[in-house]
Amino acid sequence: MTTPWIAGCGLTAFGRHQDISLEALAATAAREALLEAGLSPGRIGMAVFANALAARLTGSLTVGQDALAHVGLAGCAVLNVENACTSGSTAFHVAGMAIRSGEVDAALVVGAEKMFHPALGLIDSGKTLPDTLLGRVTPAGFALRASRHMDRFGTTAEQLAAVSVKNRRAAAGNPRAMMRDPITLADVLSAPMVVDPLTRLQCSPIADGAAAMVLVNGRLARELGARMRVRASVLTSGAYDQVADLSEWQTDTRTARIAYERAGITAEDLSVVECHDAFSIAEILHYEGLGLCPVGQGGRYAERLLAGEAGCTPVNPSGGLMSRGHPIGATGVAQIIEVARYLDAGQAPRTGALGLAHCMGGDKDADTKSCTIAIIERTAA
Amino acid sequence: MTVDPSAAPVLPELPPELAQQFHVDSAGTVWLRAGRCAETVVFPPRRYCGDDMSDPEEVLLPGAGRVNCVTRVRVRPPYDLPQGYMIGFVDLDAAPVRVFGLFAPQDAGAMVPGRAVALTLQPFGTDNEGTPCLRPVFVAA
Repeated sequence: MTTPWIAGCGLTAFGRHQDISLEALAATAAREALLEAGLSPGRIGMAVFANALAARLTGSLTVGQDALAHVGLAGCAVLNVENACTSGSTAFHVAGMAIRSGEVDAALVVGAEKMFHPALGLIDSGKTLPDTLLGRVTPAGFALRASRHMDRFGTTAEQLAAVSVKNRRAAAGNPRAMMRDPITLADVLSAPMVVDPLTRLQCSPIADGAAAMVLVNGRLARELGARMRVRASVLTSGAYDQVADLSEWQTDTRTARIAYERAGITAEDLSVVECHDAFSIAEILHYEGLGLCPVGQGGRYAERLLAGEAGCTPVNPSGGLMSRGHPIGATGVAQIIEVARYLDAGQAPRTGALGLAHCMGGDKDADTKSCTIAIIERTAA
Repeated sequence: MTVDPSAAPVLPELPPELAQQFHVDSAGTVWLRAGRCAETVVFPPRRYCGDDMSDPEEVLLPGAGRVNCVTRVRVRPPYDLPQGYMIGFVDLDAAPVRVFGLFAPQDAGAMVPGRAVALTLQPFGTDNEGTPCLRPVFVAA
């Protein structure tokens, strides 16, 4: 088996892209990734394209082939992936498997989404699920976890709001982020309530955007001078344990344990985390599930991060989903890119520095349908 | 407590995905149609038991339990639900099963964790033509 390396990345700004098609948006990110990698499309053995909503919103199918033809990618294997919010990170995982197996030397991963569409409406997990028919829209599942966390651990509304303020502050330094104006705890708490106790500023905004990366094997990594090695990539689904306490996310814990074992590290080794903060409570649960703090201490950890206390692992320095924006198909790829760029930039440019990207997607039986974790190491090929 | 079902009819007033999951007996009591594989009871039931791919045994669970957690949805409601509807999870008394459901608006103030509730079938919201929608709803017991 050969380890996958990230050889190049491309990322559009996230926001409203009214005048550009999904295919063109995806091609923009793909072009940037190919140019950064210094690899021509003819050397790509496989492309994995992630998109969650085009089939529902526009009726478009197999968008990947349409999008990637714009960058001259033709003839190779193209796989289209839909896995809710983890569509992009699932595409990354699949491409990494192809590299590991030796099936291909280089793979292109692209995630793209256009969500500003009149047919979007409230996002749920599908009209055939009984819980959906009884009104379980996506924010509600997270709100119920928030209620349970507050009830069991005494987590406060201010601690939930701290996540939003922290991530917005981080987004101010990210030119690709959608929401960059600073906000205060009072702003978050006084925003319109979406689902109790989550206000609008505790929910990630819909967005258009695309993200792409080139994954290569070790031989090509040396040829191209790649610096980001994929130490672990894990994809799991929910356990759908109907009596699990909602104040802990066991799918997070289980997936993190597998990822840390595969990478041979612990949470304490991480220099940065990008996690799936679709809602404020989600980030708090992920602190705990990923082992950044003990179970029940996530609210306090949010306060410590906001205060900039030493000893905390930076979480969502890109602004996270809540401030960078959440174009569903692109998010999972973008998170990994943000980790790689953080490791390669001024904050943590040392060899051996490690970062983690975490994502979740879909709801089923009070659990997530999918969970991904990628652990990236900055090193020399 | 579980009860053996006897050819429980589908409820025509509910969407098929919901109707398959509930049973109303001649006394008007609402039951949940669960599945049992070995000692594990699951609601909604799986099509097959994961251990040996056999068919689950169908069991009817009484809809009595206690509120685990609750929230109110403030945004524009989907599926003809009323504005500001309440939802949550209920831990059933009869089996280690947690059920998602709607909470009756008239009991809104009483729906706190630990509160005893019972499952009913009652009008909850109206469709585009103004016709009340029948739905399974937990009320304070």
